[in-house]
Amino acid sequence: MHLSNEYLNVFSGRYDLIYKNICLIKHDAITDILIDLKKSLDIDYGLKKKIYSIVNELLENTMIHQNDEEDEVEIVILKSEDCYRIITFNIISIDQSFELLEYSSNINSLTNHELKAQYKEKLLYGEINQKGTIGVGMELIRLKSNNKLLISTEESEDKRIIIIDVKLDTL
Amino acid sequence: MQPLKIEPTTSSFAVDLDIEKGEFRFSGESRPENAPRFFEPILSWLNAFKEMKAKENNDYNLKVIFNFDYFNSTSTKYIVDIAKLLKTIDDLPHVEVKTEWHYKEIDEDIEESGRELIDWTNLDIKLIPYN
Repeated sequence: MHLSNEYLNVFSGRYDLIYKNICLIKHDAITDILIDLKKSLDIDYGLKKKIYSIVNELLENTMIHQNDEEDEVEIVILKSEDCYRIITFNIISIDQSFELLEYSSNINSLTNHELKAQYKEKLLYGEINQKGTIGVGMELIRLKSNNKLLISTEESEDKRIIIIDVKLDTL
Repeated sequence: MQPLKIEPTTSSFAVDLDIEKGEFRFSGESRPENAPRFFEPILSWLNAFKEMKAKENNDYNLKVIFNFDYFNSTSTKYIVDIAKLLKTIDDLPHVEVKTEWHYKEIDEDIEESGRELIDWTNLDIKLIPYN
């Protein structure tokens, strides 16, 4: 399954593909990807740590919200002269796509100060939800990347694909 | 009260809570598959420890060492909860808690998390960088 082809065409010529993986959305698969990245990314420690954190939060978020245990996620990392892009593609229900778009729209509308305040508030006073998480993954991704989250959807064979594109500047 | 010892895995950290030695250690990576299942027993144990110490009159010195390589967002919540609990233990009349937050000198993320923990919980934490 290649959910990414159409979306990635936009970056052709300007970005190099440095990592790509398609797997079932399971905890062990996330571990394998993280181990892979630790070994293969030969870059500044701080940048590597940020990518590691963003990849983990993106994949864990996908795993927590998946509808079907047989669902797959595709993760791609691109590199240009001045940034990395970490992009995930997975199938999602229409209702979930609306929820995610609304949530990310809220996060993107906050200033850095407001975002940190929201993050701190949830960590100090929030409750663990039914899925066993605190629900600040998207906030953390926005804080680590210091860029707005680009979230879009595509339709393919009667399915909706959610694309989360995180830009991490290197300069 | 029995000590609490949890071996590390590829996605969860080592825990070694030794009452006799007066030393609690947390070290490694934290992104457990089921965060509540991993962290709730640790918090329960610390609460039971606190209740036990609250009833005792003898002085007790406790050293707590945090040495994380990475922790995900949900783990951050639980680490904050552990720190808040340690602060209440430190506030007990006969108990003194000395907490250390170890981090790789080049790891700004872990360093910043340590500073946030100090700021958010008022737990007295010494930041200790290493090479």
